[in-house]
Amino acid sequence: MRNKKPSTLSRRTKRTISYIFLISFSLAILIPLGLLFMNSLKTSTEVYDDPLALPQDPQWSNYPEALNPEADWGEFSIGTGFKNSVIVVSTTVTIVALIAPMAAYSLARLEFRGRKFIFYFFMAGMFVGGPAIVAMLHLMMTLGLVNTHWALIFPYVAGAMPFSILLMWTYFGAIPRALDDSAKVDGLSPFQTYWKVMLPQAFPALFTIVILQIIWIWSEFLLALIMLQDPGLFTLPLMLTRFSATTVEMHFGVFAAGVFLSALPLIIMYLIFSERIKRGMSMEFVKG
Amino acid sequence: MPEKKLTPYLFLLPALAFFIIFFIYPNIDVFHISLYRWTEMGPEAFVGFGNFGRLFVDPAFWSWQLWFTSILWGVAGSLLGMAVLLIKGKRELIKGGTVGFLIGLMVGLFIGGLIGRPMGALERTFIIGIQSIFIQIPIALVIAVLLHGKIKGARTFSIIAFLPMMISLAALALTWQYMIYDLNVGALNRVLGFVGVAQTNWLMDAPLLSVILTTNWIYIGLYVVIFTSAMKSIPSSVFDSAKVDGLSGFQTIRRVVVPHLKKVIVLASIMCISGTFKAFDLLWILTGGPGSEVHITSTLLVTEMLRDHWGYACTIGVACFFICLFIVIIQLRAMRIKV
Repeated sequence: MRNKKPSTLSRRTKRTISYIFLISFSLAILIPLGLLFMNSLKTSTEVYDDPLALPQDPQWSNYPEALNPEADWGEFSIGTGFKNSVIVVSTTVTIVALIAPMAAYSLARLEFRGRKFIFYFFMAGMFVGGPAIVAMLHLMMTLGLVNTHWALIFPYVAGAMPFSILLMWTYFGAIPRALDDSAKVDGLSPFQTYWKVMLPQAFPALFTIVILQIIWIWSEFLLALIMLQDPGLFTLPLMLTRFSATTVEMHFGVFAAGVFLSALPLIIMYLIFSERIKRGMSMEFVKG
Repeated sequence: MPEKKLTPYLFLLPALAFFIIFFIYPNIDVFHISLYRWTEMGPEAFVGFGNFGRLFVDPAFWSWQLWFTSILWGVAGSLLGMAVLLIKGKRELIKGGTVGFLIGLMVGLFIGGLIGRPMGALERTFIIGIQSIFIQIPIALVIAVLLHGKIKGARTFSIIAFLPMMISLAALALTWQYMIYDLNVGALNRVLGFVGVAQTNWLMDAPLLSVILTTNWIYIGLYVVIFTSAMKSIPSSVFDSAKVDGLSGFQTIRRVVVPHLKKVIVLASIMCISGTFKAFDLLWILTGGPGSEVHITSTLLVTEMLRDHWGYACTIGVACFFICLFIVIIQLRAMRIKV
């Protein structure tokens, strides 16, 4: 190596600088979220008085208030949003988990004409897509699905296909051939082979796509904004924007509690499965 | 056995059906609608490429004067970059030229915006995207290297860094809007108040800057995780020999990490720009939705759609599609040449 310079700083100084850098970065990440939590325990007067002070008398009742559909901000309650998000997420994830591994299995382990073509057809979906929102609304109007949860679920399922199939395809491809043969000897039909032998083998990959889909759909905003008009159907991110507009002036603490609550399920899931999620999501972003 | 021949297709059928109807078809339909004057009620008139002509002169989409001056800045920047490399006696002229061009382009766009030249959605999209390359990626690289160096608590730091990726952009936008930027209760004004800076309504007076700050806050963690996992593939002997050579931290990054992660870094840079074309939630919520004057391409598209200009909205989508395609092609070429 040319012009090598012996490093001038001692190990300890370096270490300290590293820690200062990492800790200030972590604080920068945590402070906005910490402020949110702190202010969720205050009354409105306290917040407008000094948003940076600790809560005098923690108002835990802000949390049930945010969920309460009977409150002043009634139709925009976070509770309704939770219910709708859970419906949309669970339906979508169930459909994806049923059909994506099946397709991936067929593409990875069965012989048929057009296999390569269909695989690339799915993969092309990772590079296009995005601004088709107008055409999606046009389609849903034609089908008469606007202002129903199906107008979200179907596009979510379709959008999940490329990445889910890729992930499952990689996994199925790595399972030894001997398994198919022994299934054949046992006289299992192709579907039984898939359902009883192959799918259990691919469970870790299936688990990853389920978690990634939950994260993505729980946070999706644009499609919900375009498709839903009835507040009773709003999913959480959309509900949050309306909820904030009605609560923030008179009930700041309730507003902050609602925002915090909406994020809580994914944060808990993240703390449990952090490695799997980080690996899967960085892969998803690099591929897309 | 015909039944056996059908089996693979039956397995594929449900996935294919969903994919074609709810993904491929709308993406093709966009091109179709973009050729019409189209409202919520349906097509009104076939206008061919008339919408594209309108887009070309729409100051809300882009202002060509700004681009013209900014590209001049970019050319100046690339010449400067190449000159610096020539003086230093290095040969990577193309790289210096590209980086110089991007910096120059961004400086041009920024200065143009500062001195009040009208700015369109496309320029804003590029500003947000290009600044991400120069801010998020270097910071993420430094953090990734620090975390790689067997530091205590590395796991905790990386979990914290990625935390914003777990929260919906809607919740993050509202958090930043009220906890940080708000005129009355925002932390930014309170803290700056201590040092005597006048109260500012950040989202009204500096919307682009606020969006940029929040964007960087969210996505640095993503690149930290991407770079950390890519660095695991660098053999540890490389780092050991760097240590033996007595390289300092920044020298290690420049001489060891960057060359090894070239492919990932190029990919991340492209993601910064093409990701901005897909970004919607944050700017939409922070700047107050359709009533706002500050748009990026995606929010302009939705605003036009809500104004019942469906054909024109699709035209914006198609234009962005081709711009992204262009970027991806450059990406692929750059990777083939460089890697």
